Amino acid sequence: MTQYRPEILQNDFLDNDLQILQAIASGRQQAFRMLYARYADRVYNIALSYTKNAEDAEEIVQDVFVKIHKSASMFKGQSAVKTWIYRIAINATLNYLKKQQRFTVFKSTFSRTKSVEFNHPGVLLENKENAARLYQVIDGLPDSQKTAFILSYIEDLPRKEVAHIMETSLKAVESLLHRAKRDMRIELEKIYPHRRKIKK
Amino acid sequence: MNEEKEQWMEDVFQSMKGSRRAQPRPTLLAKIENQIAAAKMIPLQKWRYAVAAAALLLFVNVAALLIYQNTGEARSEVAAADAYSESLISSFQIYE
Repeated sequence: MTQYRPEILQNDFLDNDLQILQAIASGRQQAFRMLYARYADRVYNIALSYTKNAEDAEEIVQDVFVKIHKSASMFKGQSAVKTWIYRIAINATLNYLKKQQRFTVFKSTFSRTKSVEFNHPGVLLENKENAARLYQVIDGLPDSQKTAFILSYIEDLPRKEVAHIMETSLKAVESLLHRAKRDMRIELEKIYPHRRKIKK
Repeated sequence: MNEEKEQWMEDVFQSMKGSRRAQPRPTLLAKIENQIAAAKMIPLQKWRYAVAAAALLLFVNVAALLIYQNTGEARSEVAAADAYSESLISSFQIYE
């Protein structure tokens, strides 16, 4: 079985994303592994932020990298490879969630309760409680606000890059973030009296 | 009170700052590579459909050719008969 060893792969023959993508298009498997080593974590975290479920997130990562492999030759270079991958990841995640929503119409209310308590595995211990509240209120946001917030506050990307990924203006991103925070504040107001106080 | 609440909300918004990225299971890459390799191979079922489609196409073409040949022969027979009756008619012209 192939082992995932980014420390070896990253020191290999190709050092820029575009070269790697071109090599993938010409069928070089090692290049695909390099791209995976560079972006699998990012794609996984994006998917995890939306789905809050490790298995679902892995399924999305699989879908995204199969798509990347399939369409590597069609990449026109109109945006950075990183931006392109983020776009594929967000679209794949939103589609996955839509499919899942259609499926859960026929099921009970199980999925709703499952998504409330989520603890991100990488969060700092002192922020664990607050992060769980954050994921709880992100849930209620519309897709565009959610995407802007996840990219800006969880992925910690610069606003300009978020605008490129979302194919919109910087102003539009700021407006989305403003509205996202306003809507989340309303939900957080309800949680506030029940929060657990953390001693600092 | 309000200030404390505002601070708490801001802390919630910033709670993912400094966190590590979560990682998928190490076996995921192999799973993806297997899926890509499987997609490259044309499954047997598809081959069967392709062969069936080619056979059907061949049958339709042969049938069309045979029908065309038969109707061609019939047409030439009709033409011969027409020529005969034409000569018959011309030979029986009363006002010549």
